[in-house]
Amino acid sequence: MNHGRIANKVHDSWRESCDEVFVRYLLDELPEADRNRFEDEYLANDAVHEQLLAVEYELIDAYLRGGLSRTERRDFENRYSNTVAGRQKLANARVIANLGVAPPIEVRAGRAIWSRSRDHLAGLRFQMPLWIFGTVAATASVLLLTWLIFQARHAPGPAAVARSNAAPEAVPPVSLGPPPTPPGPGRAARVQPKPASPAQSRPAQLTPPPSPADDVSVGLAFAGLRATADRLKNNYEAVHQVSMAEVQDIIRAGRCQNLRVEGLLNRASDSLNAWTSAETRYWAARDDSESRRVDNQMKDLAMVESNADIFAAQMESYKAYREELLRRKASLEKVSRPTPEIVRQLNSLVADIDRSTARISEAQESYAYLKSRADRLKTAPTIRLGDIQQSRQRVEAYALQMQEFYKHQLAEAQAVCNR
Amino acid sequence: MAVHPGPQSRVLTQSGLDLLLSRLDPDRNVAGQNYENVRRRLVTFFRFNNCTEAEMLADETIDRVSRRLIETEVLDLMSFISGVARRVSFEWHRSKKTKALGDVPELSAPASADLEDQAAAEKRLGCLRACAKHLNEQDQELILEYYQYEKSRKIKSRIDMAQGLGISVTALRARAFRVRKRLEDCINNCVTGSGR
Repeated sequence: MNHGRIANKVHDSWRESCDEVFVRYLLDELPEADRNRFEDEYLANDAVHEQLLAVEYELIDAYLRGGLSRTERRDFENRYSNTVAGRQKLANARVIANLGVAPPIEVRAGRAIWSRSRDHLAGLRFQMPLWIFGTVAATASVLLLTWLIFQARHAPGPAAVARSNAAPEAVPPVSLGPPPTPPGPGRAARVQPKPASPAQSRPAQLTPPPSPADDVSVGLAFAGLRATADRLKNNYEAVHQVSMAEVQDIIRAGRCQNLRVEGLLNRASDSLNAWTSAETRYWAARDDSESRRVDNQMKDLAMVESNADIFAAQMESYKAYREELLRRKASLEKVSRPTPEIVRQLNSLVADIDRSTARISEAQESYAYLKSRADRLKTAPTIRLGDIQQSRQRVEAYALQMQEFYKHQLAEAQAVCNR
Repeated sequence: MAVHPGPQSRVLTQSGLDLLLSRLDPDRNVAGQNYENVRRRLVTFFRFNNCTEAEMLADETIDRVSRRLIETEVLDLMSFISGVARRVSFEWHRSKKTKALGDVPELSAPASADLEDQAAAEKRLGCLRACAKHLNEQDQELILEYYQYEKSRKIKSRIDMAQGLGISVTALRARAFRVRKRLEDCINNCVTGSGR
């Protein structure tokens, strides 16, 4: 077949690299005679057939990147969403689009299985933002839309809606009590808080209560760090209590035992450092995770808004189509003596109008859901992150205050010797 | 099946199949391979003719061709197969035609209608990763590079790739297609649980 026969120039970028006749065949744009000739050609020739399927992949990728016109997209969806094989092809194309953005699959002897270093892959990512954006957006959109549609189809009751509309619950910051204060009146009392008894000088409850925002996956991901921090905190509390009881006994009795006091305070200080380091690691990990979640949430927001726009456009398209149907119906209804054929057509039109009404309603429902979802995503996405960062800072501040307190205790003990 | 079995539609006979194979190639093994190729092309034909039962219609076409070969002398086998396929497609569409308003285009379903649920998509992604491990290094390189870039950069990149490999862009596309097809077949097998 002479592929040059079809003279129409096509300008879409994805088409430029493909033979026109393949593209036009796939988009059902070929005149009947050309179409038949082309079919004869690929039915008889494996190479042409293979080339056709290769161009089909280009078409699918263009669809996923949003590179088809509205009409092309509609025709494409009609063809591919109506068959299991078509849906499978689309689903595969979506995951294959991840190839370039997925991390190396397996590292063998320090080398990625993709035979590219991580740096090189990172370079690829840098070089092809549009490609990545397109494929990631397509994939994310798939997952997101699926989920959203699922949610929309399984509409929650009013109470659940009210709950889900609420702003994300914040992680309560670490509940730190006032730091223990040095015991006994004295010169330091002017710069230090009121003295405390050994019992009062226990560190405040630092372990945050289980947070409503700590879902199962977050809990599992950080369970190890949390457990370590809790264990070290319990250890520190015990060390602090025992050490401070003895230090304050020594000071109260006016005994000069600098080395003993210094040893006790160092032990408490080391234990404090071990615990606050573990606590900081826990909050730092939560911070990282939450930062990523916020980033993703912002991306989700962009995606949801974009999908809402798609549904809005779809709604308009359905409405226009319905108008056209109504016009046709009105025109047929003007016939004074309707033939059985006209009656049949009218019945069919009524059915089509009902169907298009239902689709408008579905698109409206999806649009409304996506808009409300976008509004929820916009609601203070960084609140939880702020709380986590605040908790981390409070742990660090608490550690500093306690170290200052231990220094003060040592100074008190040394003052006894200097009397 | 939508193409109603009439008096013509009988079970494929061994003699009919033998005759078809002998027309495809004198060597039985090559003929078997050619048979599979023809069937695959027919499936494509029906798929692009919007027949949802493409596999079944491809088999029906081959059955009819085999029977006709016993009854009639066929000079150009592939043209004959094309003709029969077209007839089968026509019959299938006729049997499916129920629309009253033929000139009114059917509303397309929302784009999301064909989407997999998240769990299925994740399973598919897992399958992709597993299947990709089975590609050799060269094929991994090829498919990664082939699907890089966007628009004009992609075209240029592919030209560069083809030049680097000393082949035409068309040959490069065919090569990338074969790798992707293998990957896709593997993913489909993996997803349906029939192994890789």
